[in-house]
Amino acid sequence: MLEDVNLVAGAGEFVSVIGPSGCGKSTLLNIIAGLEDADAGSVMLDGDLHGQRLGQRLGQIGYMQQKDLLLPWRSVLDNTIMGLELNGSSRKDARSRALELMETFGLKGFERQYPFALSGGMRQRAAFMRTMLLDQEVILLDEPFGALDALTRVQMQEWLMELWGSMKKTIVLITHDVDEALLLSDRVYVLTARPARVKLVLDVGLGRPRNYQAVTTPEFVELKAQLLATLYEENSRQTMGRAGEPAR
Amino acid sequence: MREETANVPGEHPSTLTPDSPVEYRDGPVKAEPPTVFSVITSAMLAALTALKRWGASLLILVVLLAVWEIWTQLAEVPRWQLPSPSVIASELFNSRALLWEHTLVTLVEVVLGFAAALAVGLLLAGGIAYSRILERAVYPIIIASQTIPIIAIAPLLLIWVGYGVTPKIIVVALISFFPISVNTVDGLRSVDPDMISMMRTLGATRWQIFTKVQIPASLPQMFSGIKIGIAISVIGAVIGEWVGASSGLGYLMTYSQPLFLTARVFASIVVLSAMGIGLFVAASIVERLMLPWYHTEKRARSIGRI
Repeated sequence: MLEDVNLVAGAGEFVSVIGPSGCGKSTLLNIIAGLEDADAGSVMLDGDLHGQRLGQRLGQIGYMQQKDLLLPWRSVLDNTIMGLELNGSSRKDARSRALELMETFGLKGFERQYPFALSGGMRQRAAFMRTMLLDQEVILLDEPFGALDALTRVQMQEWLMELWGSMKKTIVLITHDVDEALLLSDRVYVLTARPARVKLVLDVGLGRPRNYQAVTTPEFVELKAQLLATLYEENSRQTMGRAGEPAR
Repeated sequence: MREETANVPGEHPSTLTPDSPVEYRDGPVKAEPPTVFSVITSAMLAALTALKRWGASLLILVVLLAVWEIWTQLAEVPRWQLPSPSVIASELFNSRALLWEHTLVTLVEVVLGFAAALAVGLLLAGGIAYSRILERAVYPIIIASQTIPIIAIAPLLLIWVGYGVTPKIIVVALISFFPISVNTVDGLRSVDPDMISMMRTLGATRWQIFTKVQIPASLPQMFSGIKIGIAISVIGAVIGEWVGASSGLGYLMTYSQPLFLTARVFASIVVLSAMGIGLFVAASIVERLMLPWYHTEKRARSIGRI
């Protein structure tokens, strides 16, 4: 599925991966997180090749999927402390740590609610908080805002930028939203269709802090044109390739 | 997906559940001492809601009883053949001491048998869901065991363990452990695989995933099994008593029937069915207390709030 993908995310960098649907973006994150094994290649964490065995990196890298995957029987508060609880913290300590962060994650006042009572964006922030509470250096985000409406998505992107600015984590984001990739990232990787290779590495030289107005600046538009051209070329190559295949 | 306003202080929970604190609805609620009037109106309201909920089935029941009553009277059906509802009702009243005595015996058998079924059923379900080997070894046997008619085993139990209360408890347990374990196994397995991945990335061990995700996720289905099991456990006790007993409602029926005390047989049936309904309701109440999230969520969905 993945052929030649070489991805580097330096400490504190925000890196995005973009590519046609079904090209194996989620597989890439699953491999990095340690959920799946790669047939070849390796994942280095802190320049270290330890932990290559399947599952060894589990618990060391934050990973948030598109679905919020909150447990419906736990309150918002108890959902966010899951990681700490699994690591052996007492519920009391974990809860007091989570309560301090509720404001930052826009969940203040909803700690005792069950997840179904929350809006999509709030649920996503609760899931994000669950990931962040373990305080890992590297965070993987698999289309975290894909299921949200456009307005909420923009709000969440600005919120995430602000949060990342204050926390200085290394983030690898998977998205199919060109604006999102450019707005948030230091660097964007464009993957080809299956088997995926890196087609383009684009350094986003926009200054920080950014806000959503950046999407209308000439520099942004230029980068976007470049990204879209690459994606469009890849997409048409893929569709033509498919049309050329003999019918099964 | 609903509209979202991120980070707005005081954002109102628009998905307020019916169980949420009342102060959200119309501002703070003043605590007023209940007056006679308010007590009466709330009781009337409760009665009205109950009538709306149960009215239709109650009506059918009343009509059926009326037809039965009128028909037995008009056709002069002899009492020993088919007693009318009113005759059964007066039998219930007149033999209340006798019925009570035997009810207690049956109730003890049901409760003990069901407790055994619950313990065995849940242990088996946990083992089957947790261990592939146990699943392969035990699950087919459990399913096959259900093809053996319990009524055929009941007399053998008398030979093996005697005429006391034990064989009845065993029959009850045999009959009601199956729905409990099968439903719980399904519940334990029905967890979203992504949820398990999520737990693994947080560093969860297999056991932690089992206790923190699989078990709580299985509870709604486990309770379905428990409710079925508890309803049929009454049948188990009656079968156990039919094949040989000296007390219990099943015994009272087999004793009264050859004497053509048909009204008493019917009275026993009424008590048995009341017992079954009572136990079912008790299980439902425990379910509601244990799974507040499940019922508020279900209700919120059905109202279309989600």
